[in-house]
Amino acid sequence: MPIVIEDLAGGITKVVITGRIDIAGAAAIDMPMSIVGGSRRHVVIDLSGVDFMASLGLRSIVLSGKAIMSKGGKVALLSPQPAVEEVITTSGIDELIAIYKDEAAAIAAVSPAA
Amino acid sequence: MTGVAPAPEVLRVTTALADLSRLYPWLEAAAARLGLPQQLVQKMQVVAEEAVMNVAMHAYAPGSDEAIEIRLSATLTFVELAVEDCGPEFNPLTAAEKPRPASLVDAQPGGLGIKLVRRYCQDISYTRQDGHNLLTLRFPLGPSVPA
Repeated sequence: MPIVIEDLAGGITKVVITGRIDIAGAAAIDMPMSIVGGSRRHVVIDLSGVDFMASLGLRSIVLSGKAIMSKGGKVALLSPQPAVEEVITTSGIDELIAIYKDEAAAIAAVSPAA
Repeated sequence: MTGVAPAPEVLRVTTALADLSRLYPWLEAAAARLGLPQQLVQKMQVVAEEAVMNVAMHAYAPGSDEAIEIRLSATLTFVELAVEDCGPEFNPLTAAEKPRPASLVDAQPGGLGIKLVRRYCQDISYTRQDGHNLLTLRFPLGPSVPA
């Protein structure tokens, strides 16, 4: 699976996405990301293992993030590779979901106490 | 400058998921045969995904076995990706780019792809000819291509 959902201490959820999030990859993460959006409130999405992502994959992340934030939750993106980060910044999504290069900082940013 | 080279690389796919997924390795191999820089390949894959998904979602009915033809060619100064389908007239460029939303809750994810296409391509054109939609996407080629 290109996606693993880990529930950490303190109510934080870490979603680790890996591989090529192309048309097939986006189809594979769509449902798990919907579940995260519907059931978690403090979420770090680790993109460090993603080699490729275009608008379909980004759409899945945005929809999930939107569901989380509409219920008062927080989301952060962690360590995208340069080409993936360029897709995120070019589309302006980084202004809506912040990108962190450090896991502890990302967790702190979404934690219930922050 | 000369026109586009006469023998482009060509891929024909249907909108079935397994068939659409051939797009990425084909583009990688075709770009390698043309000697294109790797950094351009990722951008072309982002743009090509958007173009074929537009056809899959707007031009052809689900389960359609009609083909999308993708052609890649290069000149000294640009790389051209042409995407052609025989669906009803659909111009993705008239789907205006949405303004940047103020918050994620306001964000409409549908506008993401066209924004990426407009930023990554130097020139985009759409024509309707002989009952086909033809989307032509040009990428700059040369030392000025940003890393």
